[in-house]
Amino acid sequence: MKGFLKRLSPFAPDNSGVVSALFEFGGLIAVCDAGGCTGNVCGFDEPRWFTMRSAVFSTGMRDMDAILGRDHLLVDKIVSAQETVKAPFAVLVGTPVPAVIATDFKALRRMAEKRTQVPVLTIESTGVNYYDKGASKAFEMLFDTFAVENLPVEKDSVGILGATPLDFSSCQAGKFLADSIDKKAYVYGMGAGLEAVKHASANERNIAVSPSGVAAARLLEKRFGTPWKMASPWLPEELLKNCSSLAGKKVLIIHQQFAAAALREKLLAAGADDVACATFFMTEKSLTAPHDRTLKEEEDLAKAVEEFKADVVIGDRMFKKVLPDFQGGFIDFPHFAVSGRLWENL
Amino acid sequence: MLKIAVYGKGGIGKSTVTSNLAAAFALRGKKVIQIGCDPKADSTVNLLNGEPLMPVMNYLQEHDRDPENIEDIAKEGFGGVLCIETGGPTPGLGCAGRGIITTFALLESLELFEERKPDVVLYDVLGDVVCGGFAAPIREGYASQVLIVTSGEKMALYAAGNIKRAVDNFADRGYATVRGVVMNRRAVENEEEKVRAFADANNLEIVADIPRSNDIIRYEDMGKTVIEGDASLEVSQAFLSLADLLLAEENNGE
Repeated sequence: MKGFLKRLSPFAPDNSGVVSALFEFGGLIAVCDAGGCTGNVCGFDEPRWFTMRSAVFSTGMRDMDAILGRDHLLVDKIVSAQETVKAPFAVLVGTPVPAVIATDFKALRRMAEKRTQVPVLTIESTGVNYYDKGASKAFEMLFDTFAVENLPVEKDSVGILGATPLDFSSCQAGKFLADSIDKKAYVYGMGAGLEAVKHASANERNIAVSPSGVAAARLLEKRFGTPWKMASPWLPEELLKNCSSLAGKKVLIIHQQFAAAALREKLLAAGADDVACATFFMTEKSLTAPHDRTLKEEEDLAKAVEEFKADVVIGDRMFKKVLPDFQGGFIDFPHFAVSGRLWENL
Repeated sequence: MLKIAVYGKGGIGKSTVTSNLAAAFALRGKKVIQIGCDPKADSTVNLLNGEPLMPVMNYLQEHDRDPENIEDIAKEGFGGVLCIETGGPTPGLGCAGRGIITTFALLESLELFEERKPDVVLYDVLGDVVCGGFAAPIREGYASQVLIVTSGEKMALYAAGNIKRAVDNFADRGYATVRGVVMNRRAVENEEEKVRAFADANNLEIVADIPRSNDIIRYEDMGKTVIEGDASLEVSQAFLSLADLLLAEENNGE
């Protein structure tokens, strides 16, 4: 049974990734569901929900809406919500039900834009993929829609793409990322809002700090010629402190690829014998080393630890559940999309 | 690029019309793709010498992963027509309409149109527009024109009316529009009169008049279209005329 998790709880799905990426841009976010997916987003996958205002709605789809394909009701709801929210744009977020009944999001966008007179982003997340895929689509579509004007380059400005609490396990990640760069940093989605997106062409360069930021970085390079690189410039102090005595060890890091790769560099520089990265999420070839692995099943994780002969595993402590026979050291590296745990709450 | 979806009542001859039209376009030197959107997966069989190809849904069921190349799910038939069948789930299970959408998404990810650069794409769609999946071929980005195949039979005309209404209902969605009616004669009394009355009532043009012909059945028994069998036949000429009409409109930017 492919993708069946027996000991881990399900990872944050792509519809949560969409909402997380777009949470701070002031749009009217409508999750096309009966309520459960929105409940998961707001109750579990989006820690900022409790401290920050964002217009996230469930479209409250009922069985007859799905059976009868009542798209016009959905558009009516968007129009009604927009009368109150008056957002600069709206977002329709796909979930398993629209995916299964093959809702035509292009048609919905056309109908909703005609009636609301604001841009409508339709993101066909399915609930079947993981958060990073949804966040990636959302960032890409946001920049595709709003970063259109070619502005003069602002010296020493850096755009940070792909920052979400789901990746960085902290609501303060935007600040930490910005502080870690010795330039004027725009951390899109965690500090920098819609106006900054509209001015993205002025960035001297961009950094994709997670796989979710790569598609948007490529789009901005293609559209404005903005150079970009992949990097994860911030790693929590506490994590680095816990990893300070790994010289001579074989270490397996399980996390989102960019964070894992950044930590690997630090560990190797500090004398670790060998470091491999493993991830259940999206990967970029250029950051993948020979021993690295993409994991599909829980069993793959135990296999990776065994085959790499790791002395130490670094990953969200949730992963310990699938490594009952592992006798080596384990260092906690929370991954919010996996366990819902934040650095600030540890 | 000419992108046409062919709709009509079950058994009315949609696959016959579509594959003959595909063969006619190919005979005119055009690069053609035909996508059968029917779980029966028999739309393209007469372009392939009667040899069926593996439908996309069967591929996915068998391999449990997406195909890496178009060649995994497509075959070239008469005149170089690239044939693809969506197929569908085991009858009585799953969701055939969703299968069509999945196939289209897959073809998009394989960059079918960018890679092959076809002049003509034909979608042969099962029966009526019964659910969102079966309207997929006329969604934005796919077919821009619809041909409705009908005979003078009451139920065929009834289905044709339903299809026209369904397409009209999609006007605010940017979907395809109905280009016209293909009259596929079935030896019904006053057939032309009946089909013409339907077309007039719905403000539609009869764009082709396909005569009843045993040659169609004869060549289909050999796994061929009549165009491949004998392009000089009256029935073949009817398909060629339709292809010429649609190509001329395309060239004139209509």
